[in-house]
Amino acid sequence: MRLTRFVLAGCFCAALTGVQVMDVGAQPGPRGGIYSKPYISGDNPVRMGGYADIEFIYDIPADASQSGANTFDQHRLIPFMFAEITDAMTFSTEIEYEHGGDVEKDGEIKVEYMIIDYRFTDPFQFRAGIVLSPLGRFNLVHDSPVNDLTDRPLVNRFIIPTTLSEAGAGLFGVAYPSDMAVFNYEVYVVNGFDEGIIVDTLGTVRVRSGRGSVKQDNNQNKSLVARTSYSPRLGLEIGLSAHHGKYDDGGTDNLTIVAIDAEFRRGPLELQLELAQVATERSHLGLSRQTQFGYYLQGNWHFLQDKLLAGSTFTGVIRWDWVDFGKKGDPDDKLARLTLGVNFRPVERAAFKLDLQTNWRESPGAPNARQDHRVLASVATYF
Amino acid sequence: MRTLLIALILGLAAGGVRAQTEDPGPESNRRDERYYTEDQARERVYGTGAMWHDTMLIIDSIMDAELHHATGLHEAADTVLLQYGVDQGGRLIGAYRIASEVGKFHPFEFLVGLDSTLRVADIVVLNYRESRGGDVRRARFTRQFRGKSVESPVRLNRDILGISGATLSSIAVNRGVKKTLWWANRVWPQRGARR
Repeated sequence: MRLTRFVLAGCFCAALTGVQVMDVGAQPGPRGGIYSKPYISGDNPVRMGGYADIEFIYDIPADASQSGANTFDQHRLIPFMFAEITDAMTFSTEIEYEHGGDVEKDGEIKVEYMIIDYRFTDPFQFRAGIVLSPLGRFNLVHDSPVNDLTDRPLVNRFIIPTTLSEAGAGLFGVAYPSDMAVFNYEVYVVNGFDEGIIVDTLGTVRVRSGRGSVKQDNNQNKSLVARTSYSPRLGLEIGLSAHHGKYDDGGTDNLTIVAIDAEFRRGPLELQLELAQVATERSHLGLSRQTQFGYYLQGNWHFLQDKLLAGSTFTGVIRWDWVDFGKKGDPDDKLARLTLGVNFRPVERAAFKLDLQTNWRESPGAPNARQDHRVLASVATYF
Repeated sequence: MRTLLIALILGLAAGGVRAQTEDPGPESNRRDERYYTEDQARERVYGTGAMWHDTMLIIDSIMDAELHHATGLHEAADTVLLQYGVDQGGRLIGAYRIASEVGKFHPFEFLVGLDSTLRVADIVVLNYRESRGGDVRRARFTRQFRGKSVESPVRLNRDILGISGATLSSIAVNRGVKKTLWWANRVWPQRGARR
């Protein structure tokens, strides 16, 4: 009896999973029903992948006699799916599980991007969905395994709220002006930011808090986000991007973010720079326009390639972060961070990272800017 | 209950194996972009007028082990065909090999052209079969190999920059160049350039 149950259950499950790739044209049910969906027919393969990371953070106490706060953080588990519908049409999505997913107090699950692309020609391609906003370079290349430090740059947290993705549609493309050069562009109409960028009654602006809904625009004015980049030769790229549109419910005030980014690579050396400024009109609050600014500059040096393992490399990293919130006199008016890091990549797509951060919170005229130190260790990999 | 669970897992695995064997796989994404014939590619690197001859190496396990010891690479083929050109005066003008390496899923062919001192003169990609990463054929990628010798690292992020989105194809070209340099220096050791 037990054996019979065992065999029957096994056969049932084998049949269930095997049916995914069967030609099921003769299956019961209406046309377009469960068994006639294209993903079951097997002629529409879907690629799955993703990345994951785990971090350990230790706040070094100012007083050596005390123990510092420390914690593990399973920060991101990000499955990807990709399908080529036709030669010209693709579907791609990234679903984000942060801090364990949608659990009490922290964590979230959301669609980070979901795009349907249609290529007319290489320079002229259509994209619609939840697009990854082309605002600065880092927002487009933000995966943990790619980045050589554990934490993202401050400017990409407070001025460009990475990861910024918005519901919309537009065009993108690539052109080759010469044998050596590449020109890329992306331009989309999107829902844009909402009033959440104003975080208190004093009119304090934090753009991160006002990332717009992908379901419902809060006003009838769409925003425009675009980036162009030019690479005169391999190893050098300069990008210019902007996001502009009304953000308040009444559709009276504009929010404009402008960013410049650059990357230089030569041999084992990489230099990265990103600057961004956000200008926020606040007339609906009876306040003047506020401008915030930030940047980061990062240098990477690859060394000991293939020494420990074939295909492996170490990378030494130094990054300087700076953000000015434009509220002169406020104790938290400016943030600065110096990070020194080293990471080991057994293969290109995985990294073991160790970083030492020094953070400053500083106000102009303040005699004692606050300073703290943190150690971050993390592992990140694509799968 | 435990029996049932085990049965379920085994059943799912069996179904999965079946799914895997029937998966159309990357073949469904295979392209067949052809850019140059061998003659056209050779002409791009060396021009016309030279006489071309070939020399074939039969690769045995000892030779492959030597290659691996020197470069960390293996030769997938049993033979390596090197073409060498001589001018009207009988002087060697260069040598090349049509390398075949796998990018992400599919093999693609490219001409690795060496000059008379066995430094890389140029790379010309003949065809490409992946759905993405075809930028490895462009001069902005291939030009950086010029002047590389058997002693050059020919490694990403060291002396070669990869193409974003085509890292595996970039590495594949590195492999083909590295192996061609090594075989050519084995055939004509007295001509091998030093950095």
